[in-house]
Amino acid sequence: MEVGKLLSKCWFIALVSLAVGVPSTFVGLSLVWRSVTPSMLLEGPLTIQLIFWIGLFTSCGGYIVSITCLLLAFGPRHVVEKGHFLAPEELVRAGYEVTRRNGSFDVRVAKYSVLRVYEGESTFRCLPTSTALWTIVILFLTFQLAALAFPIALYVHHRCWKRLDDITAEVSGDITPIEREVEDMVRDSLMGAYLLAREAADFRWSEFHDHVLILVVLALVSWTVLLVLSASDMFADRSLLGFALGTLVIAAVTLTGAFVLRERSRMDVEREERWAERLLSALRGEDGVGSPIELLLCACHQVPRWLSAHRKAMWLREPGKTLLIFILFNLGVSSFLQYDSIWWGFYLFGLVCLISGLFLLSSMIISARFESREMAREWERRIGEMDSLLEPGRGR
Amino acid sequence: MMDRPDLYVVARILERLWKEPEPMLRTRLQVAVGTNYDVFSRYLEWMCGRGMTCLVEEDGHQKVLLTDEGRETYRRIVVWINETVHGKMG
Repeated sequence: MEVGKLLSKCWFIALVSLAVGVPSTFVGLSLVWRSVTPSMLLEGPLTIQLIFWIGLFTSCGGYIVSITCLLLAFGPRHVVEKGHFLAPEELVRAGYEVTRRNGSFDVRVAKYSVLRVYEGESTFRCLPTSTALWTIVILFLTFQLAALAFPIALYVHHRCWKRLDDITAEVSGDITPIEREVEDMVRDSLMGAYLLAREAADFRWSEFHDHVLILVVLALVSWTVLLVLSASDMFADRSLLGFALGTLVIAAVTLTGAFVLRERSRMDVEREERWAERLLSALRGEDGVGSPIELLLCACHQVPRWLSAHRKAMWLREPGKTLLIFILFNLGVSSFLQYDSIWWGFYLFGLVCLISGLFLLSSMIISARFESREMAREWERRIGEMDSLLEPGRGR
Repeated sequence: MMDRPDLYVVARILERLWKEPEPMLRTRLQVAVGTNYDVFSRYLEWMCGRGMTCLVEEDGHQKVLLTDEGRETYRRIVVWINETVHGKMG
């Protein structure tokens, strides 16, 4: 008889996060409460002080609890206890959305939950989808709502484990390794190429969204600067003309930029979608597609472009690291803004966060560049092999 | 005689013959592959010279048969494609 566990994984993570977050916030704030409380509040009525303290405690505690929970929920790798994962192609056929990665693949098991399966290791990680991740990032950016990231992370984690059982149950039967025949390999290649093309199209869209987001953030920053610069003029001569003109220029540049980016991305996306459609038609054995082998040989020349689209989509490729960079930058900037007004320790903390964020971002960009160069070299060698495929007696 | 055959055309011929368990009529194969007769004849001659295919006479018709060498070449192309698509470039 199977003995039930005292606590489920979700409850364990929730309790540990609270056990770490609540006391450490309490201890931390009680040590610095005089420094962080504005002097005007210290002299004010007790009720106001109490409201300030509850707000500060909820926000700081929310950050610590949520960060602990995120690390526990999405950090560790878990081992599959029974059965094995299906191959990515089989999961696609079973109706799952699968994204290939280097040495692993992501399976979307629920609306906001993704399982990252590490090939050849029988291990996996629970991760949020990009939508869930963006929600968490936005909550982190709003100081007061950071605590809401805690239940979201728990929900995503819970859904991952719930759907994992379904997948392992599907594959718990006897799987005997059989040598794949040539026909199977052709089908497998068509499916692999189709997935690559499909994902490349998705990544191109995601890249477009990333660029538009950067553009909007830049526009907002410019508008804020404009507002600060023209505030004195507005109060002095009560004229809004300069400010209105500036706003119009910023809006026009942003809209034009977004339109140009959209047109550029649209062509790339359409090209990848055409490839995906052709490969899917060949996979389904539709008439008029031509020779699958010829199609695959042509598709092989597109593989570097598809892989590079995958590498460029930094947000989707390494969501955990990207989230950490966002958090570090946000904490850094917030701490800098509070310097002078509250406590000098914030300045040092902000500096450490900014430097760490910058270091992580640089390492991601540099490693992606090295990877690209390495892949281009390997690719040239690989394409060189194409000519020797027709040489007799060339064994593998 | 060809110096450097187009891999795409050879692959198409091999693929068509692979699917056919019996020797295939020369003209039927040409139509299936979708090349003109001159080009097809040159490729077939080259492939016969390399031992990938051989010509057999059946019922007064010339038919094309895939040899073991041809099967091995086709398998090699398929394995190469499979590894390339799955990014196994090591």
